[in-house]
Amino acid sequence: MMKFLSDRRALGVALGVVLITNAIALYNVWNNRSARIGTLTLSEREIRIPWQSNDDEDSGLWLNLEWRTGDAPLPPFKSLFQASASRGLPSSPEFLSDYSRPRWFNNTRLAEFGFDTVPRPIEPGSEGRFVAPRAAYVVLELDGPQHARIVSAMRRYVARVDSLAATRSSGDSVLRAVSTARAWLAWTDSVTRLYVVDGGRDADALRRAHPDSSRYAILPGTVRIATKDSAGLRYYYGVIDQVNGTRLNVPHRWRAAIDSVATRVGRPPRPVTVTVAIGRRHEPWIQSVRRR
Amino acid sequence: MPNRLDAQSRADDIRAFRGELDRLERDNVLTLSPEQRLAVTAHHDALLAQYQRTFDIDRGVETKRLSLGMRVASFLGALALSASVVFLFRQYWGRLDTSIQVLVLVVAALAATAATFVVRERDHSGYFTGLAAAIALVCFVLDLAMLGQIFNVTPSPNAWLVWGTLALVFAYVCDLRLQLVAGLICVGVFVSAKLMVLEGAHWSAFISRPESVIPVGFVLLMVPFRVDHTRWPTFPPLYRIIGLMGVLAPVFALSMSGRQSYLPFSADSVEALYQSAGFLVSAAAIWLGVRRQWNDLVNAGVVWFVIFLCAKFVDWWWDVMPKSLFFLVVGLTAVLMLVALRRLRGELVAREATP
Repeated sequence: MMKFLSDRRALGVALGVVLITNAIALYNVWNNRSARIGTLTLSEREIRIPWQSNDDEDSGLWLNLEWRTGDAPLPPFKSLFQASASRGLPSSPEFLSDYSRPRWFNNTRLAEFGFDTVPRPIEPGSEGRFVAPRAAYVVLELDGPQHARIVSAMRRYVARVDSLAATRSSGDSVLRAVSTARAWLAWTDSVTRLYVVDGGRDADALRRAHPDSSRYAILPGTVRIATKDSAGLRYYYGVIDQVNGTRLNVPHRWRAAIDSVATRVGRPPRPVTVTVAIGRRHEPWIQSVRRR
Repeated sequence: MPNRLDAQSRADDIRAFRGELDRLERDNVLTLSPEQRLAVTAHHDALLAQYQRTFDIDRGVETKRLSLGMRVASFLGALALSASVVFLFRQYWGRLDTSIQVLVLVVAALAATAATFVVRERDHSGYFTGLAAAIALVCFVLDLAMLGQIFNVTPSPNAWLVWGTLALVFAYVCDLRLQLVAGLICVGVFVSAKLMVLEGAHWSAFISRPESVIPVGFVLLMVPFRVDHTRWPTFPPLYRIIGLMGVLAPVFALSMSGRQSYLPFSADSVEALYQSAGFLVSAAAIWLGVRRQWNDLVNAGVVWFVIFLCAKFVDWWWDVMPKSLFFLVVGLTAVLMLVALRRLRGELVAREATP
């Protein structure tokens, strides 16, 4: 075999690539964890605990952070509200809007990301031009004003449906609406309280706007622009495309604690408190796991 | 004799010369004196022995066939052993403490890299070196990918650059084609991703923006023109094939979905433009390949031309024609291409026959 570099130099170059790369990667990890810029105390509502499984091929374990935009009902509820409105029942609570379209992510915010938001005439048969997603920092709020606003709006909605059911001769559709609204309230009280409430390109500016580091976490992600056609014009709105760091590796030391709260498929999760720290590079890690 | 390819080519020439000399002597056209024959045979034997020692060449047809089998076995072995390394780690890594996980990943990447050079010292054929290098590269990819997962690191395109760098080091130091392909693809992904960042988009969006890959393809096509590859004679064809793929795969994607283009035209116009560009570039590749006698470029150009043609046929006729008629048209087009290529071949044969 022909020699390009001397054996020793070639080996040195190859080992150097591996060593230097690992050194930089591990330095970045140390750098991230050397300064904590936020700590969230999450419950089983915000953390999706994997169900017990018998996967012999992959021994790794991850927890998924569940987040919502807060402005979107799940699809079944959307149809419920549409049906309610058509029957003279109260329509959707005021906080609801199109799926995955946070209210704060308006044209002004889109323009901050460099997206072109000028409404344009719809080209016949065209889906519109593709616009690539952009890097962003997103702010996750834990059990804050957004969650309170949603729960309170939903309670008002349930009260309105209840009073309607009491004053009218309650037909099947009204009774069904009452029971579904109550189920929805119970559902909201059981799912995640982690909401994406803000976003931008400057993490420091976002931190200044949301200084409480035990309630607000700033994570990297991607945002994109989506379109909505109306009256012959194409309008735009912002969508949270992806939030990085929401799939957390479970270190071996917390494995037993997570295994103790994992349930079988289809059963509700057991109570647990997971503390997640966020470092100066906005990369999170599990700091502790405690069964409640 | 600078490289293995030249040595193998000379050995093939010697074998052909000996066969032809036997025939000429049998037909009483040429007879060497015993001294001449002895001198020629001794000279050739010495050359062959030297090539065998230095490059582990194939001296006969049988060994050549076996070598082909060994190449296939080496490729499949590299794939299987690489998969085995990945699955082995996945099976046990969750049971290890974080510090042990990191230690295992870093030491495995370093050890596999060092082992590649140890194997290279003993393996003149290059098959085992190729296998060891493939495992080393997979260990390094696994190393960075798993560190990213263990520490929840935000994905970065820079990983592709270092993976590509190591693959290219293996390729050029150990003369390995598979590593060259891997290296070019990794570096190509890195450059395309960085172009997306320059545009202001997230780096991972390069897949949705095929035009960001086209400059990389052109650069790869230019490399054999600008960089001397005398020591690595098997590399320029790979640069041309990967480069042509880098240009024509995005062109094909844009001919299907024009809305992903940067061009300020309607999606239909963009698709029509890229369809035409696809035919023109693949035809130009065939022409250049024929002119320069680069079989690799001719074959790659033909494959891409057929892909564009079939896509167009499907677009025009799949819904309106009975399937039997559709495939008949495709078959007849293939026959037409055969006729055209045969004419081209005839002209080349005539040119080669001219003294």
